[in-house]
Amino acid sequence: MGAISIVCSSESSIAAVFLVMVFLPAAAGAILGLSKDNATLSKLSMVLCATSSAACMFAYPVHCICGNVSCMLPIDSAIGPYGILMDDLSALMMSISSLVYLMIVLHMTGSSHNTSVRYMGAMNALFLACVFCMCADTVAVIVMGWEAVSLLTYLMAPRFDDEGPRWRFFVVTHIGGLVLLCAYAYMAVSAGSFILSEWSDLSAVMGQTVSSIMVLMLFIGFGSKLGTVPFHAWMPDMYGESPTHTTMILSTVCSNVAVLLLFKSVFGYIGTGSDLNGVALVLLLLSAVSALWGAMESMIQTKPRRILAYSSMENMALVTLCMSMALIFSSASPALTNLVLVAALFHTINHSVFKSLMLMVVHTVNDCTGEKDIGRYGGLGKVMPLFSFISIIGVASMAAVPPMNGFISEWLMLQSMIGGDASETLLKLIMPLTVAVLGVCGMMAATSYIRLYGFSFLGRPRSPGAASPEPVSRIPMLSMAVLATMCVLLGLLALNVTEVIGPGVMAYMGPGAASFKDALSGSFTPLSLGLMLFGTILIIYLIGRLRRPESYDRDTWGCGLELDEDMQYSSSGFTQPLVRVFHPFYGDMTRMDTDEHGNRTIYHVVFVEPFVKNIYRPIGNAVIRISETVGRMQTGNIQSYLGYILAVLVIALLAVRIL
Amino acid sequence: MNVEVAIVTILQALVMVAISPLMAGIIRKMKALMQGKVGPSIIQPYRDLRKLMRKGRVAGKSHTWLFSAVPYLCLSSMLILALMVPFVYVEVASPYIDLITMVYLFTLFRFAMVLGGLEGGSVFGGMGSSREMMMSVLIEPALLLSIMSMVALTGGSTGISNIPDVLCEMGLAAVGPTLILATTSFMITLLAENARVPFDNPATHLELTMVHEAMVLEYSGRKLGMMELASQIRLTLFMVMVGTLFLPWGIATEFTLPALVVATVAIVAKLLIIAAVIAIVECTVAKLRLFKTPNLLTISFTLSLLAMISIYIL
Repeated sequence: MGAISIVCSSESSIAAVFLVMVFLPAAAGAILGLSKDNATLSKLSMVLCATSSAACMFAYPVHCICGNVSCMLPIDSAIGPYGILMDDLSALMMSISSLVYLMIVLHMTGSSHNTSVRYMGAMNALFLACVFCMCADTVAVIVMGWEAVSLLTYLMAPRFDDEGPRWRFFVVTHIGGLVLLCAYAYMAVSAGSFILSEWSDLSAVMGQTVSSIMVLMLFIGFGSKLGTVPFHAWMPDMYGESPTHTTMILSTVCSNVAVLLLFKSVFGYIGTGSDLNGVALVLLLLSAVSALWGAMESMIQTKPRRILAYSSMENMALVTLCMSMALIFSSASPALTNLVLVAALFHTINHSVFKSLMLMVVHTVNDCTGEKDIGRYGGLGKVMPLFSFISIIGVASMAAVPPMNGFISEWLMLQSMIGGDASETLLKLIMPLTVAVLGVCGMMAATSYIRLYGFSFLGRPRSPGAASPEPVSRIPMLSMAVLATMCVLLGLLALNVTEVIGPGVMAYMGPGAASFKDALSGSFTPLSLGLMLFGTILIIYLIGRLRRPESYDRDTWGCGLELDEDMQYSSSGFTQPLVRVFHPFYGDMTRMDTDEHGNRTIYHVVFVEPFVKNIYRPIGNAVIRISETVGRMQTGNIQSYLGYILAVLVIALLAVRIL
Repeated sequence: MNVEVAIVTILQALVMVAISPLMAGIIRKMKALMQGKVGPSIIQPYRDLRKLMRKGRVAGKSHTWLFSAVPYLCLSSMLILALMVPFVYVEVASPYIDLITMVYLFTLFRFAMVLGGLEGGSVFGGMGSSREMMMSVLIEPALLLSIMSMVALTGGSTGISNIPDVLCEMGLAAVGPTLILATTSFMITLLAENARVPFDNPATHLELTMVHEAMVLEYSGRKLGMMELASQIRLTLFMVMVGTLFLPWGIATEFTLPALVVATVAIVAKLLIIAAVIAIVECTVAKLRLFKTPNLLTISFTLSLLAMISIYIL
């Protein structure tokens, strides 16, 4: 056994300190999780997790000082050695993800529930698993890390009365994991090495058909976490029911991991050497359907977290849409490929920031009011102005309002679509359609976020809890404020961020890659837009200051009646016109019942997932039917079993004889 | 960008802002004349604004800071757009902002106004916001697509001054299916976006017809004045965009006095023609039922999609 060696171009002592600071506290915290429940230990575990993630935030600076940091363990497994490699892009993703992770841990301190030692141990272990995945350099690390992420998130969801959601998640992610395992195994055999950094341009080795299948498998495998149709069936329930902090990590950090690995595997390892347009079209279609469906469903959900679940699905679908477009562009223009990939990765980063912020907001609103339904909130902005301000930054980012970060990534996506200069006519036709998809999705998503914000913070309170909410404690507020600041900064300083992502992407695209900036067909400086907005608002305000007329606060006009809490627009009424316009897609959502006396008709709104109804149910029913048929053979009678054995033996012998 | 261009940019932005109430007044006057009425003077909107700007505001007790912030956001986004849209001279603040940002600044306006509608806690505001969002799900992509198709037609640059520049150079060769489809779609979008007749009636306060008016119902005094001014600027901007981005012939591509004079005459003529078109539409077409509007919006959406596709096919 040799010693563990850390290889980097310079300053290896800094790299060593960094690695120790990242991995040691979290590992200790994970081990603590095995002990009996104890308040002090759980606090300690939380501190350890925070330390690790705070240390990991320095991944990018460390990379700037030391260059690529790699580390191989001197032990072997059946599927090759264990090793990590922190390159440009991994370091960036690690920094952003750890920042989000740290904020999530900080936010936990102020929340009331679920800080048992076990849960915290799982948090630590999950952090380790995510970091390992992001900087994995061997097949063993990537496969085990990915499996650990799936298992730990499964464990971090509690046992519900109805085990359905958790099991759906478990089954879907494990099918995804299995597909990934197969893909990586095949790729390792083709490459003749278990070390990922030695893989490059495998498509030349594997040929067009096999490469297409591999790309499809990778998309399915990671798509099962990202909620690509039809693998999104677990998402709304799992997001809605599990503890919010699990949801946050699942929705942000785990998505970052999945997108990063997908990007590395498809563009770095398989490469775009051969023509992958066929599979790219299929993936484009799947992503477009996911994006539209996610946006449509998020408009009508009544639980805030389910709204955000569908919105995650939509955002991640936009990212996979970009990646499939990159596959299409790769044959025509390398600069455009890089641009669309920068857009995808930037959107992933932005998504992790604003989505974790919004999940925190939703969780805090839930905690403060004690209500879980969006129809019971209202008027929180009056009582909590600062909280309301932080939330609107998150909402504006999600709704792609300039100059927030969400807007910049959409701008980059649109830039790449308009620059789409593909050679084939069929592909040319796709570009307008993707612009349309992006436009429709964007506006639907904006509707659902406006609804989420408007009916929580504006208007008048709709329940006693919302009328007198408990104040938000300081540390959770701080973590939300940090994320909100990040939303603004990532927007205003977007040019600098893309400068950082660009080289990272290019490093994977091979030596001849062109800069993504060559494909930009317009120039836009977010900072000047922000300054212009601020400046004009200031000027208008100062002009207004010259002479201020008096202002009064009166009751909202109610036609002479006294308004009660129900006499205002409701959240489900808000999107009702849209439901009517798009009713063929939603299907029949109302169920009509009569009460026990049969006098009164009661209407319920039911959310039916057509994908569950039309894909999963038939498969499930078929499996049950087959197993029932097979079950009839199981009589429990020893003579019949002997008979079966005899029959099989005879058939087998006959088969051998004939063949 | 040199000093002269900067001065022209700011000057033409100020002119656009200054004539916005006048455009609203002219359309109103044209409508009145077509309907055989005398109608208010064309400078009536200025008087209304002056009156509103002097008055204090009354707000619902449940209002938050956002209620006061919304008019500022709406007005400032429109002022920035006024700086960006070419009026008589093509070079504008384009290095800072491009066409995609332009479309999304309209989104900022809508985002702010819809939240303002929800702010009061009254039923009217919520209703207006809800209907606005229903329409904008179809308006916004149509707007995006029609502008994107112009971008594609003129060679794929999203810089704002590129479109009029290239179109003027192409001359009549530019008049083709793409231009016609995109302009038609944009005209429908103009009516929908600015709450004009087949979609909404700006002149009434009847519950059944209210979209835009319902959202600003809770506003009063100076805040209402700001919202009204912002809406008027928005209408003018859309009309100017038809005149300079879709049918830009006449605009000054060189910074010389004769060219600027010609451009001024051309844009005034175009604005009057567009105002007349709006007035004629408003006098001859009845307001659509709310759930009929998506059909017309879908037509606009389809036209813009066809405009985009026609570039690649033809």
